[in-house]
Amino acid sequence: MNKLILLLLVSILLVLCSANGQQASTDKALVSNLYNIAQSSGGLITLTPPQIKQYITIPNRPYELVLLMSSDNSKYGCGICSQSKASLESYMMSYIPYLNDQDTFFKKPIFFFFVDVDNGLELFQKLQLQTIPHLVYAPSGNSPLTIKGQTYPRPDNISPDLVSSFIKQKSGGKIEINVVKSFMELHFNKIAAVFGLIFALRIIAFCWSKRQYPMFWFLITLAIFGAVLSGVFFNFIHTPPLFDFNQQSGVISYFSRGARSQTVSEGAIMGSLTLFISFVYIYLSDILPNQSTISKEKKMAFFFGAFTLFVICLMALSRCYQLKYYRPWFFIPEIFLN
Amino acid sequence: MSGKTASGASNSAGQSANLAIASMKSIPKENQEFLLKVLILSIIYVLAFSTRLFSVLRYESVIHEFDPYFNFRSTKYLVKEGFYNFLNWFDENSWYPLGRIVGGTIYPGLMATAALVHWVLNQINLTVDIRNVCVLLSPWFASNTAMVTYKFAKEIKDTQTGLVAAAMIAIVPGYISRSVAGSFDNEGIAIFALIFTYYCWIKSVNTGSLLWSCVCSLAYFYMASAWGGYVFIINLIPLHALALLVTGRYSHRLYIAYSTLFVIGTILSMQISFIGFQPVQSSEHLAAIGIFGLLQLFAGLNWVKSHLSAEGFKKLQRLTIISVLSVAGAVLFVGTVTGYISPFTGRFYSLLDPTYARDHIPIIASVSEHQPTTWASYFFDLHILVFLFPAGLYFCFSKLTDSNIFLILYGVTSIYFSGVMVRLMLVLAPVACVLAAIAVSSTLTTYMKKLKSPASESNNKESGGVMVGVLTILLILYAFHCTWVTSEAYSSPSIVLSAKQHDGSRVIFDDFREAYRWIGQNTADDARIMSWWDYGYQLSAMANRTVLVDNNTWNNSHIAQVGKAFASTEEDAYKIMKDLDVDYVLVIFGGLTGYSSDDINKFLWMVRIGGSTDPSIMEENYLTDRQYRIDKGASPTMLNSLMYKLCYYRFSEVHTDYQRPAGFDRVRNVEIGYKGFGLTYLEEAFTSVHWLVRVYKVKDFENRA
Repeated sequence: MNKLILLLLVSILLVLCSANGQQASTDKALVSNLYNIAQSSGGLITLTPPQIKQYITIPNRPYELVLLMSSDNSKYGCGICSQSKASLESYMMSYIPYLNDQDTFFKKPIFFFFVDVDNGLELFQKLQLQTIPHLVYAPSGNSPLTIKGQTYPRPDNISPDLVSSFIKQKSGGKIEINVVKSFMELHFNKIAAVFGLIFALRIIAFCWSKRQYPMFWFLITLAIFGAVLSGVFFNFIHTPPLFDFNQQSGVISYFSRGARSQTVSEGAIMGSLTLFISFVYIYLSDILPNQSTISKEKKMAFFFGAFTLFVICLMALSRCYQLKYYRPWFFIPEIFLN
Repeated sequence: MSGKTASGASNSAGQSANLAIASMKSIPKENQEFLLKVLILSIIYVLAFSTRLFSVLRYESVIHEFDPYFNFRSTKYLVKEGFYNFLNWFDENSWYPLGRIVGGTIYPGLMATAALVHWVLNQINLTVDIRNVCVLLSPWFASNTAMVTYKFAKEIKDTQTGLVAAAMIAIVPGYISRSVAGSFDNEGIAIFALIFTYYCWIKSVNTGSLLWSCVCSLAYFYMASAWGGYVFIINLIPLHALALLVTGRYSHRLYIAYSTLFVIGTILSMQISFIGFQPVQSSEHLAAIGIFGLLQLFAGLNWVKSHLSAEGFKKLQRLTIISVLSVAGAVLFVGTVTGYISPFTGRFYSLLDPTYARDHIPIIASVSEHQPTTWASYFFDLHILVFLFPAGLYFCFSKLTDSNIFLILYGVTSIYFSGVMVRLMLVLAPVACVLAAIAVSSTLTTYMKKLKSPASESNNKESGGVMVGVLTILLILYAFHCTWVTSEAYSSPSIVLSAKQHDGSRVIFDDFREAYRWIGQNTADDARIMSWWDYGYQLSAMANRTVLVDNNTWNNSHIAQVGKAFASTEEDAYKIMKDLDVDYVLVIFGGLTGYSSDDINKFLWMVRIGGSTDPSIMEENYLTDRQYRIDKGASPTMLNSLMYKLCYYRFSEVHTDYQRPAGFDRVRNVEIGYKGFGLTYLEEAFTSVHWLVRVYKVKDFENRA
């Protein structure tokens, strides 16, 4: 009886060992398959629908994943998508040395995938993603794929340093991909600082040489005025888009709705138009009347030319303002019209 | 018969008009101009006051917004208890359990002014209620500002410019936004003090008069007692002095004006408890001290120069500059290291570096008036001044004087600051008016001359007529715009809301006052109310109850505790609330009426501020795909937060629109994601008619027996 029990235990142990061995060999095959694909595709693997089922949504993954959930298709009108993909592709320059270092890599394998909306709709639904792009990290093992706490915070700002620290943080410090930097990347700040300093000194020297000319300082103040009027601080802090793009209608609008926000282009349009009107006004009010070298007829022609321009620009300004406030800048109350 | 009478009447009217014209002609030209000037200024004075009364006429004589409620409450205390008791006032009804030393944490100028006006009126038997004094103080000061602006612009250029500037500032929306009736805030009187100080400064620089310098110091003292913006003055005036030095415009007039202002002004400003020793210790005031030293050095060297040879003077000059720079650098270094010289405050930093508040002080960044300005705000608040501003600068640059340089510096610095913070449009508006007035009056002077002189080879009368006509039209359109903006955008008291219906009639929402009255009448006298800090001042002033945090925002970590409570689950929040002895919780909810400034829309700021002290509160947990949602797709953390539950409790029983499902939020335009839930640790105590204000009672601990 005892021998029978012993035999049973031994055979169970053998079955388990062989199952584990099979699992280990399957894992190895998966990793080496992906490894080969990654090598041939330059690091970033673009997945087809069957490959998603084969490599992503399988249970007990033996490798870590970084998924760029995005799209190349222009029909989605996603400007950041192509930008984020390009950034991740440039990150592969740092990833490839990690991939090539087989000893380290096979101890802690990690793969980068690009999943297109059109190919991986099921995966998008599974992750409950409703916008693109997203950079999602998935740890190895049996834990289900989720975006909760696993997404890269700013997919519009994918930089090698940030991606490396994101991976390091999400893998609990296990995986550390050193960022490979070119000479320019390493020394760009220093070079830029030197050039910036030279440029600043040049500007200061230029200003110093022109210090006796009030109109030079006038132009400097105008530049400050124009920049502030165009909402440069708003643009700097809130980084609004260059223009609004309606994805459904495909229409581009330079003016956004709502007085508390703006696009970069509308600020620039209004700022420059205002400065232009100011110049025309100055010409009409001071420069032209003090012109003594031109004839009366010419003066009249210049006056009416500038005046017409002045009025047209003011009307344009008023119309642009209406795009924001639903009411022209210049208006006459109804009480005076009735 | 009646026709005869009418023609007789018109004849007599015509005769009297002719008589008036004839009598006017008999008056000397100077007197005519004087009369005309007085008439115009009188009209401007009345206009500046009356255009700010829309809110009183439309609603009632009521204090507006949030901060003014604290000012009103403080003024009442000052009138009742006297000045010294006011300065020593410890307010135990705010910042529970910390309290607040009011006398040492406010600029008392506003309250003192209102109390003085009240006292004077009562002395002459005009028994006006203190509330009405507070409501009408800002419009009255706006009229005074118009008069001071007239003097300021006149001092810089001429009388015509002064009149145009006064007319413009009387109605400019950028200033009206802070000075309508009911807006009992520091800025209401501070702009008057600001312009008055600048006028006195220009006057003292132009005349070198010791008297004007002393008056300027007093004006500066008044400004320092009224608003923290006095720092702008104490940096701009040194900048002006420096610019005059650098451009070779140093004079004894400047020396007298600056030295007097610096010494007397600094000593006087230090009498304000809230300012204390800052003028000699803080970095914001260092420029004034440095320029004072520089002026003494410059004056000293000028004197020595007359007694030395050119070579000897050069050596002395070099030695002095090196020694002074070394000593100043050493003092600065040692002072900063030892902590004697305090660093810039957060608010000052956020002006110099626009990203500072966003990155470091979420409480400052969360306030809408601290946001950077869009182009639309400039066009809305300044109208034609936006393109007349550069033209005015041009005229200043084309004829540089000491006062023109000041105006240029004022214009450039204020345009920069207004770009960083939309609130500082207030500082830009006066200088924009003066610069625009210079542009307008210069143009009118040129073209009126053309109109008056006979047509000749060099004179085009037509162009004169066209230009004068266009400027007149532009000024009329400016008046239309300003009046419309004042009426529609800047005359809402916030405490009473109104909405226009399809037929043009107005519907009034008086929920705030209704709720505060309910709290005042139905809760214990010592009840402690927890709400977001925005409503702290109103609660203290109107409901007379103790609050945990208010608009003073002096203690970030205390506000973070409240933010954390609102961001936590009901169970976790209950522990925090019990730790803070909270009896009631008040939330503002706009889902039923469509009021978008409600607590749900402010909630992410509560999360951010709460997360600034407790890293476990993370904004991303309240978002879904980086989107802030309250519908079915909202994150579980969001749906279970205390704020969500208090706002949407029983909301699923309500139909807001006919074609919408129950529980449809009219602000977010979605059906809420979590319905039919109950509350365990709180119970609904009061909900106002339009659900704008909801008050919940925090339950007691369960009886352990």
